[in-house]
Amino acid sequence: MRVGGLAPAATELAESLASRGLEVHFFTRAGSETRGDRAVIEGVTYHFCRPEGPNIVDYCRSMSARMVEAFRREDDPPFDVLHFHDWHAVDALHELRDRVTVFSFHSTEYGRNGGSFGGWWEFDEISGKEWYAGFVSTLVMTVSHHTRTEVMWLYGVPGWKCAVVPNGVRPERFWRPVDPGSVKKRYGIHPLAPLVLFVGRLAFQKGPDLLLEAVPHVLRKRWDVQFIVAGTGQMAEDLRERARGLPVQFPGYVSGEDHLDLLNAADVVVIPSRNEPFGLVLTEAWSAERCVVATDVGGLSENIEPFVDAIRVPVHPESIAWGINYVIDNPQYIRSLGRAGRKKVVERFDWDLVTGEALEVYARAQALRAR
Amino acid sequence: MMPPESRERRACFIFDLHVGLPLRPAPLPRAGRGSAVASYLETDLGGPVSELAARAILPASDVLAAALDRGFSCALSVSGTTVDLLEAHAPDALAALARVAGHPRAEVLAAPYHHGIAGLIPDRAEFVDEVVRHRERMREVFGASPAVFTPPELCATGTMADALPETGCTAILTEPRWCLPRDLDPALVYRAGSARVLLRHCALSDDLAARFFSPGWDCSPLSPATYAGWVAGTPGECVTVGLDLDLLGDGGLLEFWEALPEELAALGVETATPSAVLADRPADLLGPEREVSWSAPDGGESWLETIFQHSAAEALARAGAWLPGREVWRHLSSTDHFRAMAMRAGGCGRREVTVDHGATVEAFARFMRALSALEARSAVRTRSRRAAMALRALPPEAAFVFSRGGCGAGYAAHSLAECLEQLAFTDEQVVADHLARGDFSRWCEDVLGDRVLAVQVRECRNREELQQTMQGRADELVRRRSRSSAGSPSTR
Repeated sequence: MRVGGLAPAATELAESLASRGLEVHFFTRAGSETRGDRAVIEGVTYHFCRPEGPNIVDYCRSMSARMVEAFRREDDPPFDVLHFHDWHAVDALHELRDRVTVFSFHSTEYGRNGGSFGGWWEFDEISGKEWYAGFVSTLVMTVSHHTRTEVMWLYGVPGWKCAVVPNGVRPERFWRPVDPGSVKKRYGIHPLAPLVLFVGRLAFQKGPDLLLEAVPHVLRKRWDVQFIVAGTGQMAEDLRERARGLPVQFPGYVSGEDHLDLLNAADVVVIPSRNEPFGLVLTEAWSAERCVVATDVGGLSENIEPFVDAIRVPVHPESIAWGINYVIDNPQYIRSLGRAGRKKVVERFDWDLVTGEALEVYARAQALRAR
Repeated sequence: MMPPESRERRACFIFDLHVGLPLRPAPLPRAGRGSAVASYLETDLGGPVSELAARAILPASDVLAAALDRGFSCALSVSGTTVDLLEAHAPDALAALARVAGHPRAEVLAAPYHHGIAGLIPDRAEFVDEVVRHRERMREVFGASPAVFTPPELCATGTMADALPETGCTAILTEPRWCLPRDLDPALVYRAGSARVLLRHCALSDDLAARFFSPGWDCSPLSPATYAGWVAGTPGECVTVGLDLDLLGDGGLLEFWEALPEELAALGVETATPSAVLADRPADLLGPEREVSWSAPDGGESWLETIFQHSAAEALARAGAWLPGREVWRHLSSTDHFRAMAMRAGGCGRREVTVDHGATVEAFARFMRALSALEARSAVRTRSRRAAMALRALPPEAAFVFSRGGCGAGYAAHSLAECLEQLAFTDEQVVADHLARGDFSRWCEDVLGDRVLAVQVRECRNREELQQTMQGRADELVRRRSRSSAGSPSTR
């Protein structure tokens, strides 16, 4: 399972740009199993660096420095547009601030902290970098109107400078014909028991604890509902402890195949996030034609048309339970919500459409710089 | 070759009426030599049936008969159980229905006699038998010989379509959701093999069955003229609208029906019976693009969607395989009992009913108690009573409840066969815990009454051994039961 929306969003945008015949270079850090410092995948040239540092801030500073070194080696003929993703590369943005730069906010530090200010030094440091990125880049891209407002409010970025380009999705990658019953059986669940699925980081922002608190309220209405909370994170142990005696399973990290199976076998996918700039889980679940119950935050509240393609509820355990209860006994409605979601994904979030929007932003940035 | 497009707009209205016998909370002891049915189901339905007759059947029949006289056409689907009940408790309502059914512009449709799920389980012989008996009954009371078959809940399957010629029917009425491909146009006529397929238009049916009564609907109150406009504006060969006849007794729908035929006629919509629609569309004129197949080729995966419904349907099928007498079994197969096992039932022209989970648990419990008692009582008539008892269905209070770490795993085994099914997927840890406590062996001895199996199970150390042991014993018990029941007189 991939963690977070940034990495796939940036990679898939790069691939999609490359498929349109553009030359795309992607500067990133090497994973633990990456060999060498250069690779060409799906038409995109990747440059890997190996940063180091005692804390996340210094680590990213070191990463930025090495990215810039690699960039300078490739910069002949010069690149037309430089697209930076999130605060990790702000030091590189600073070095290259005279070029045509676009900075993407996939989220903000405030948002990752569950929509509140943190009192620790990393919070201030990262927020400062985010402010600087908004200030110095030619144009800013956000994944939703919600994040755009947040960036304008937090960092005073002027409205004309912020463009909204949603994360795209490849719907065909998340849908597969599975027999839900046999997938459920693999998890020791009765093939006909309604299955509620959560997929994501087990972190405060994603609200798995809210789902857990909703479970008894769901069981009060219907006591054959089963829950799977897939993913890893800081809250895993705590959640496991709290779920004792409830029909909730924690398979931990689920691989790509298992993730797809679970996603396509679940009756309801719950996204109980406290803050969600975009909510890639939503478009993934829709791609698999799933019925979604999501909290009314950020990109989720923007992209959902309530009761038509998903159920949207306030950030509260009882409300989440209400949302699940509203659909759980109505298989026909569950299917119709899933189909409507799938239709929306194909019509609005397919990478081909989103890439076109990104290209428009690049062109505007170039025009601005040329003036 | 495409069938000729009719220039005129056509609509087909179908009224469904089924009243089943409700289950008793627990079976009564058998008294005397009378019908066994009364011990499992409420048969004293004089009150409710007269009430239904006065509220819905009589006024609806009057309105429909008057409309038929004015040139309207419609079809009726009445189950055999309903006819029996009306005959016993409300003969005037049956006579009123006969007036509608006997009208030259009306058609009577075929259905399983008891509105049963035999075609879903699937039990082909029983299915054919039910439909044939129903057609005979229709001939007897209404003088009709139905040719269009309406499955219960309009859920058609491959078994039903295959067996259709044996029942004497030539067409089947169903809903698009039970067909493949998924996005059929309900206003067209299709075919499945030699049978022609009519599809109910769910949206236009639900306008009358559900939304009509909802004050919050943006088209409420719905006027006959508006509705006729929708029907007229639906392109296709025929718009088929079906709804429960008893809905006509509810607020305002009767007045709506009084005015609808004229509004339809004013917009050039011709009403027709299903047979009239099908008459100019023989199966061999429908091209390959009109060929449909079924999403439920061999039963099961249909409107039976909850654990309870499946568990009960499978138990019913297993009992059907050996029970010497069929009378009570047929009443138990009625869809009413199964509908009550889901929290939400109806829709698409049927009265929508929502109940809480507790009510579905109770419905399931009543059903399993009846079936369990029926099997236990029939066991006496076989030579290997022990085998029949060990294989019988069990009520929830005697089921084997799988539990995981102190809380229920979400399922329970209501027979030896179901236990085997669930052992195939339950967690390793769950099996180990139950084995360590000796739960399986106690259940086999105390509930199934099979000491031999209990001793064998006690020796099992893991899931595989347990499965092998139980499977071996179950096969042996089935052999013993079938040997002995073959010798007993069959009342089927």
